[in-house]
Amino acid sequence: MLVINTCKIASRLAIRSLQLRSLNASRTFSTGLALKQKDVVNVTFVRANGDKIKASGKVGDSLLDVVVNNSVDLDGFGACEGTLTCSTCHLIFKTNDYEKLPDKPGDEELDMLDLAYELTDTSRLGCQITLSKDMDGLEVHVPSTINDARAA
Amino acid sequence: MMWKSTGKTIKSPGHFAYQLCFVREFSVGGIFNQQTHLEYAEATAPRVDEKWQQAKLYKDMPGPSSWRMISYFMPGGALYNTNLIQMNRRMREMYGDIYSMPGLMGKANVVFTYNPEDFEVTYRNEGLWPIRIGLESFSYYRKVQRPDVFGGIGGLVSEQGQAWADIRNKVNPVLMKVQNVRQNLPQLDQIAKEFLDKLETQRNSETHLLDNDFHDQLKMWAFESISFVALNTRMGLLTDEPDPNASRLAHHMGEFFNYSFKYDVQPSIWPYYKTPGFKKFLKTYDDITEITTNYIEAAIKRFESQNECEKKCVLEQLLSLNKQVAVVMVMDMLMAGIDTTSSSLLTILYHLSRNPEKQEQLSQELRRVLPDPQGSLSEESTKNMPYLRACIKEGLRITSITPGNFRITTKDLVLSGYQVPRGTGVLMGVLELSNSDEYFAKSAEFLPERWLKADSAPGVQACPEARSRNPFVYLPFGFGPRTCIGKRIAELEIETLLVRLLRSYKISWLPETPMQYESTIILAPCGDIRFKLEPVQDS
Repeated sequence: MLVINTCKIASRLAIRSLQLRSLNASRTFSTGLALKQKDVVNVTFVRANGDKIKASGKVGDSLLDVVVNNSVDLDGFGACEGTLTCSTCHLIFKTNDYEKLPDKPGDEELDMLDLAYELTDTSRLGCQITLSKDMDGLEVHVPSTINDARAA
Repeated sequence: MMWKSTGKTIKSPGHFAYQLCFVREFSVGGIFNQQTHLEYAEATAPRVDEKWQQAKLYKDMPGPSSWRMISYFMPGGALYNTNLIQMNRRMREMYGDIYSMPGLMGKANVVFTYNPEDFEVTYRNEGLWPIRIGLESFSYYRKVQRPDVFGGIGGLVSEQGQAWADIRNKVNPVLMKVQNVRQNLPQLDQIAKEFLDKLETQRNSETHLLDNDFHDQLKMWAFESISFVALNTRMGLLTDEPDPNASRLAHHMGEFFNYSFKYDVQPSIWPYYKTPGFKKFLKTYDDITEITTNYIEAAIKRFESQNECEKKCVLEQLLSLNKQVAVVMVMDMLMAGIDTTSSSLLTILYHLSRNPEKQEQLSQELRRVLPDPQGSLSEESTKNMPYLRACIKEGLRITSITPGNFRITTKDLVLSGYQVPRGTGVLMGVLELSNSDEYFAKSAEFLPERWLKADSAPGVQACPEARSRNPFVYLPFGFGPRTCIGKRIAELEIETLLVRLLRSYKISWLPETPMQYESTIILAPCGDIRFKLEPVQDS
């Protein structure tokens, strides 16, 4: 079951990232030049075992988009595709970064966070965090178990 | 067969997802849709880890034997003539917080648990395609009777496995994405205003009493609201001249719940012999199908003649996925979005009306949200209503319309120290726990403050318990991939009407007795329901 589920999630994410990529590609093509350097936001995901994964997105992307578009290998991450029905994209921020986030979590996000593993005071759901330029260099921790109904 | 089913289908508040919570031990109604057990629980190697091996054997779990259970339901037996809730309580007294009921006639065994840790294990291991048994008559009508309309799609309630996931994954972004659902706020607010206008015409300005059945009125509000969301059509049910087809549909939807209880929950021989009553049910269903599809066709024409607008409504989005999926979803929304939402709203209003201090606290928050009672609600103004949301949670804690949630396990699990093999039913007795002092201090009292995570207003402080409580003891909309699909719509409707009602009236409960509930397909308020609605000073 676990293996099958993992494959399913992986293939779904792969298909989605393909779609997203082709979308990005055509967008890049139509607007001429690729994204200017200033729109790129670099983010580092830190796994529970300390492994760091560097990735980048553009201003306006969500942290879930960053994981998907960069094919960051986080098992089961973002299972509900940003519809706020699971808590698999749970991320833990440093206190400073957490306080700087422009939008406070909404009620729907808080309800889902309640059901997340290893909930902390600086937890957020990645699908609800939109990248801005000043987030460049952001480092977020990924809880050891992304365990949600969909990742079992 | 004098008693054939202890079963009961239960639905989350305001939602399209049925939580089947029942034991159909003797039911003969199972031949169409009982392939639900192991077929979808994919084959896995037997579990051999330490936790499993150290757990007590399933056969040692407390619980009656098949024959003893039958004797309980005989005249003079411990469970003779009990409803589902009474039955579960007595069984819990006899066997404890976890017990097993044997499945007869090829049905799955069902484990009843009152341990929130078991809820968490069950939910967190349900996999991508959780199994919850659906309504058989539903499935029969759509798949056997009218494949011409439904194209083999049973809908979210009755499908399992890949077929279920195919629909659910498609409709999730439409019905679960917060922003997408909240774009209906202006129209739902308008409907809530019209509901209040109608109440005004029925309210005696001296006694402040209503000369009409409030519960019925609420059902009309719920129907007007859900049909706007699902069909993008105003039915006019709150006016003096409702669309005649809409009235017929509203009437049928009321019947639908009774039928469903009768043919899916209570014992019935329909799978073997189509009784006259069952034929009448099919006729009603045909009528519902015809009226609904006519509305959808009319909406399609309207969409075609309109210019492409920026935001597509729910129906347009569903139609762009697949027309049959749209038809099925619309019908499910209409059927499941009336009694559920109106019952939940009534429950919350009842608690507020019996707790004037809490109502006053809420009223203060609402004055801030809506300074001018005639003004409109906006995305921005409704963002910050912590006390209102706490009141909704507290009301649904005391009486969620679903006493429990049900799953068929897809993996071997260890629950309360016992091995539970995959393919076993697990009934999680949430309502009992959310009304127990063990999990909620002073559980019998209506204390919205217990849900506040941050200080919401001067004198209204955060409750530390709100952060430390096990979240699995309160899940009125269920959990995970099979979470009630109508959750967002229901919440939006309920919030909107509560803002309007409590911004305009001080509401008190008139009967001397508490609100009564009948336990059919959901827990629905019944009996003497009367409120006094006094206009608030500044409105």
